[in-house]
Amino acid sequence: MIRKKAWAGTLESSDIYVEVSPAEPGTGLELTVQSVVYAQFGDQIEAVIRETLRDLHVTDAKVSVSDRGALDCTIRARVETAVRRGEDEV
Amino acid sequence: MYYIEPITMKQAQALVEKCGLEAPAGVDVTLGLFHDNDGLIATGSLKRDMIQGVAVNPAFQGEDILGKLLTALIDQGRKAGVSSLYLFTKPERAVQFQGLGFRQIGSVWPYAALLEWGEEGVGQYVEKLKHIRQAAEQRRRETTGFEKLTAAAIVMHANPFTRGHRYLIEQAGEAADLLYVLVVEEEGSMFSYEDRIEMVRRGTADLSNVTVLGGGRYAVSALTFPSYFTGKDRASAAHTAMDAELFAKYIAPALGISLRFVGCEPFSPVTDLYNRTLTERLPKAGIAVRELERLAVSGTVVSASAVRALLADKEFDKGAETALMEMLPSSTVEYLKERGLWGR
Repeated sequence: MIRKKAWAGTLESSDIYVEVSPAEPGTGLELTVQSVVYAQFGDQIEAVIRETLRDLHVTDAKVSVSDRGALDCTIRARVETAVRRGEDEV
Repeated sequence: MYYIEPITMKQAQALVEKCGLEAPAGVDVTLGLFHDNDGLIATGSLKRDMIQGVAVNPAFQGEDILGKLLTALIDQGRKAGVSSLYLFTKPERAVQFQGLGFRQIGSVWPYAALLEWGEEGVGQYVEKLKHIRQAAEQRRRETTGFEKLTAAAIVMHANPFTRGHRYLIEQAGEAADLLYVLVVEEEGSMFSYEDRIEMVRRGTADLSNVTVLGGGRYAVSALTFPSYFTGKDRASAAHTAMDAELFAKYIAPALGISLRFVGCEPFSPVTDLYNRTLTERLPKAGIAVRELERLAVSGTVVSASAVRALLADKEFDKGAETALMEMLPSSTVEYLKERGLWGR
């Protein structure tokens, strides 16, 4: 469960900047994706983020990302770090 | 290797000026991005929630320096508890920042573009305005029975609220079913925003068609003073043009405003330019602009700056009190006394 605002990543090329903030239980995920490659990969970026959040058992959160062409593994790593920070585990 | 560390504005100045900008004043922190052997190659500063003085050595442009620098500035802002950031730049440079996830909220060629970063942006402000409008329209419909309501707006600092302000509001209020009075939120003047808006509320409580609200970051705020990157002569033009743009694009549609009032300005060249810019730009967006005469008492125009001078005067005597009573409505006098701001 996300308890506080947290973020991870950078705005550098091939990276992604991820921000998570708490949401009321039951409100679900509110995802905002901004990407230089949104037209080609927007759906895929969103899918990777949702999958990562599901794996981490995050059901309610606001997540907003600024992507600069990050690879899937980078996206996963950044989302996971942001979530862990938001959960107060890191 | 690249590394980033805080530097002084003095250290950053040469690079900032080399990039055609003026070094910003009064910033909270300035960061420098260095490269092993090349010294300082980029800099940017943070002033509360505003990113200023972003400059990259032209020899390093295209090396993703901006991404590194902006990440550091955003992190710095986060640490200071700021979650929304704003950035003024030249219109032709806006695209570089948009690529980093900044949203452009206004652009006025050839002066400036305004971008924001973070969750709370102009969208939320617009939502807030829509709620205020809904409540105001509902109240007004109940008293007038009108289905269709016209709305006007006036923006004021009310530092403090004088009979002159009251006079402007009364005149403006006659021209529309609803009048929105937007109070400038920027702090740093004699009276706090809280004091100022309270004085406006009390001073207009008897006017049923008046709604008093804060101007947010988007109506005449420090955000819209980008004097650091344009020459001094163009600074005010850039400011007034951006203010007009934001008013026309967000505030007026959200509140349903078709008429904007301004007080005529015989003395201040900046305010005069502001009025002229609004008169030129707002009608293009379907908003009429009307200039109102100011109230004169005993042959002198009532001005808040004269009131402030009297209040700040060490020799606060009967004469000063009499003069103040002439310029201020009783609601303001009472408020100032209540708050211990009368006759310091």
